[in-house]
Amino acid sequence: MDKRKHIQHKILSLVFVLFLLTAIIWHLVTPDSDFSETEKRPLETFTLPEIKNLVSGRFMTSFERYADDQFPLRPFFVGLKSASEKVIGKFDNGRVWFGNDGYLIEKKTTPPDLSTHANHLFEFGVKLNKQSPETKRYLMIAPTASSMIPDVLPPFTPAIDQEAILADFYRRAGDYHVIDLKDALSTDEAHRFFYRNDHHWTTEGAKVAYENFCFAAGLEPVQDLQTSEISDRFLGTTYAKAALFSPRPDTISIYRPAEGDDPNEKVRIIDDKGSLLRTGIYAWEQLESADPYLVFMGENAGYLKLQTSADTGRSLLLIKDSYANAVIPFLTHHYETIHVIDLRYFTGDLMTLMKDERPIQDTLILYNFVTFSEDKNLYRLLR
Amino acid sequence: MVFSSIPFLFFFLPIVLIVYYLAPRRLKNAVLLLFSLIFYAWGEPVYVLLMIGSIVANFWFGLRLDRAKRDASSRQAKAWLIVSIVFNVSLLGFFKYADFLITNVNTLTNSEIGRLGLPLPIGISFYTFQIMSYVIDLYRGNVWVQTSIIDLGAYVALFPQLIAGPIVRIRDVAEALRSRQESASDFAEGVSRFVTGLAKKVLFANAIGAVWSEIQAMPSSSLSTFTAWLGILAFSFQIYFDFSAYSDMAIGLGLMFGFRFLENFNYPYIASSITDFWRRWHISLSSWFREYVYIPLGGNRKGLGRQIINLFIVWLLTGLWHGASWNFVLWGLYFFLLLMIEKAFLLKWLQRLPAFIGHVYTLLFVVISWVIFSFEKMSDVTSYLAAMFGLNVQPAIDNVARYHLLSNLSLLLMLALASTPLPRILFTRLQARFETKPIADVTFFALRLVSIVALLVLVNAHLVDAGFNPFLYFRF
Repeated sequence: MDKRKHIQHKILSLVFVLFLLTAIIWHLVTPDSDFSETEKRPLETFTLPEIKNLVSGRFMTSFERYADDQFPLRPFFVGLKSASEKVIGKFDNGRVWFGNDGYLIEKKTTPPDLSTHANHLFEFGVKLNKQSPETKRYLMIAPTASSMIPDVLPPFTPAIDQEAILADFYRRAGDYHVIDLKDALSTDEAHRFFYRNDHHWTTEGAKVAYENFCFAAGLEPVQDLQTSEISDRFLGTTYAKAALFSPRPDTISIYRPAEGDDPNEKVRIIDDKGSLLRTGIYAWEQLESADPYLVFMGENAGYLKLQTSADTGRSLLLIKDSYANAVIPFLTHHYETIHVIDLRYFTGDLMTLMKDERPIQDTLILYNFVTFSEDKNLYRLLR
Repeated sequence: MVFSSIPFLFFFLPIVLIVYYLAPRRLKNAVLLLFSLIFYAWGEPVYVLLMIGSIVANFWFGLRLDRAKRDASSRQAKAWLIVSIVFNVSLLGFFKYADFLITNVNTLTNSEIGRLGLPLPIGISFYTFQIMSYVIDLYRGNVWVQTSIIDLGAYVALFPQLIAGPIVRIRDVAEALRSRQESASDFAEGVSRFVTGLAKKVLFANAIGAVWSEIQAMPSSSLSTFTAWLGILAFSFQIYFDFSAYSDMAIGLGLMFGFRFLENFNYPYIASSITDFWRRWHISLSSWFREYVYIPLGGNRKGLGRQIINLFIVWLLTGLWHGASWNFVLWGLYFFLLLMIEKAFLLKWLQRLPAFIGHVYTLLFVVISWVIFSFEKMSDVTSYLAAMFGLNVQPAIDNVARYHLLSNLSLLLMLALASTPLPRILFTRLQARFETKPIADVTFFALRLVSIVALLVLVNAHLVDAGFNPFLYFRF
């Protein structure tokens, strides 16, 4: 019996040491990668220590990040963590709520304070009104899935009351035509307005927003469009954050005219230097990337000018986040020119731009609730 | 460096184990000292010099003290003891309490003495207490003088217990420092113990800690009664599983290197009174204070009045030891008060009442003590307590509470179970039953092996995830 115990002790000790060694060796023999597609960030690589970095501790911090970032089978382990939490019945993994019916929804529980946002918009409204009183101002902050389809959330989820916060915000934001989407996006069929695996709305959701905008702006929504599927294996941001093993992919659709060519394929996209970026609104190559939603409009840019084949003479200034990207392919039917501003990257002077590009009939500020409340660049409206 | 991190687990630990076991016997302590210094310098590249200085100084104090004793000069020996205590206490006082003192002096006298703003050297409270145990025990004749600075250094800086204890008294390891025999059975036990601690820290403490951070981040005025209780319960679990996990890991690592540290926790949450609780919680700290403060002050030998004063001093210091802030002082005195009450009459009453009343009473007051412990600002303490006792005009229960309760139900049940000795009892019984039957024994061992590996994999998954930030920069 003692001998058996002795062997067992040896095996146990050996297995432990081998486990640690396997990881370190695996780590060392696999080549380091520089960039993580799912995380959209550069990964830490190994740098040799210098005295200076050793004394300041910077080498240690860097090495710790390196050891974390380059750990073998990283996606597997991250998935295992999420799965283990799901198994013990947790409703979230710290980043994402595990909703019903495969819905993965960004976990946000701290109600934002939108008073600064309201002040910025208020001042912008006043300023814009002074400079070009003829330009109409529309404001659309889209509530997100946690607020519009709360039935998919886990029981008792203390999600932020976006509607109440928005109602208060709209009251203080000043003189805008507010397009409140809360009723339109929370109907019985609202499930199809939001992706299971991404924080964006679907093209169906975007279409609802578009129709509501048309109604407010006195435009006639284009009727003879039909939907066509461009991807049936879309796994987006919330999927990456949930890191679950069993995906339930979404489909991405776009709307095209029932007959004839799609005018969106002829839209000329001009960048901030005035050169033609590409023709056609869809960035098809993004369907294969880590973030296929980028198929709408491609990579984010501070300023893009869209020249469409809509012979209306109207132009639109669109100040937006990525939610708007799925709406733009509808708007191109109504505006000959669309100036697309993403304040996160926009460094120019908005008022000058508007002066140079006169006449601009409409401005639309379009964000989703979450990006909008976390946006710290609205002050750029006032430059 | 913390134990529950990829650099420690997969770089530091395997390397130190290999080097240690390859090194010849006479170099083993040197290996431990060297790696312990690297371990410490990893987090404190500058303060490591402070620790080395403290080791060298106390080594020298020890030599002088010993010589004085040999010369039969008790006055000189006492002088060296005092020099050493003053040195160590000043060091700790300067780095840990100077700013606290300055802030209070400023408030009291309306002066504006600039704060030093020194970061606290990691583990200074632990290693200073260990060093002091050496000099005091040497003075008392409980241990021999350390003639090898490497041995003394290895004792003080030993990385398993350097950062978060337990506070190992030199006489408990003096023998092992000089000559110890590592064995496969100790190593295997150490592995089990270490992995258990690791899992307690990463799978239990961190997981329930996330619940506490979420609730703590909410303004207390908005918490429903139930949420407030759930929050502090989460913190109670977090601090126990975090702290005792460190002790488990330290004890486990110690075993891997042939050291046997004393237990530091003994299922404190099943205590039947506060007195009992403090025999089960952070045992090495309470023993240290008893041995080096309470008893030298006279303990209970000089009358009741003096005993109360002595206990007051001990609990004041215990509170302060946990942090340089008034809430810790209050926390210590809160326990002083409870212990006094128990001594006066409550313990006798509790003995006559059904056992569960004692357990409920103890848990209740321990949980409340964690409120004082976890908020540094007194106003935060009171507003959190107000939330717990329904004085903040919020409903008794809301969706935040329901959500966290349901989402963490199985975790909470596991934590409650793991706070009792039941899992250990079950394990020991099964093992004893199977030991005599070879096939059952081997199966049991295989299961144990698989669970250890599974725990390691799962812990690793949580560690990897902590550094995983999908789409962090996506929105910017």
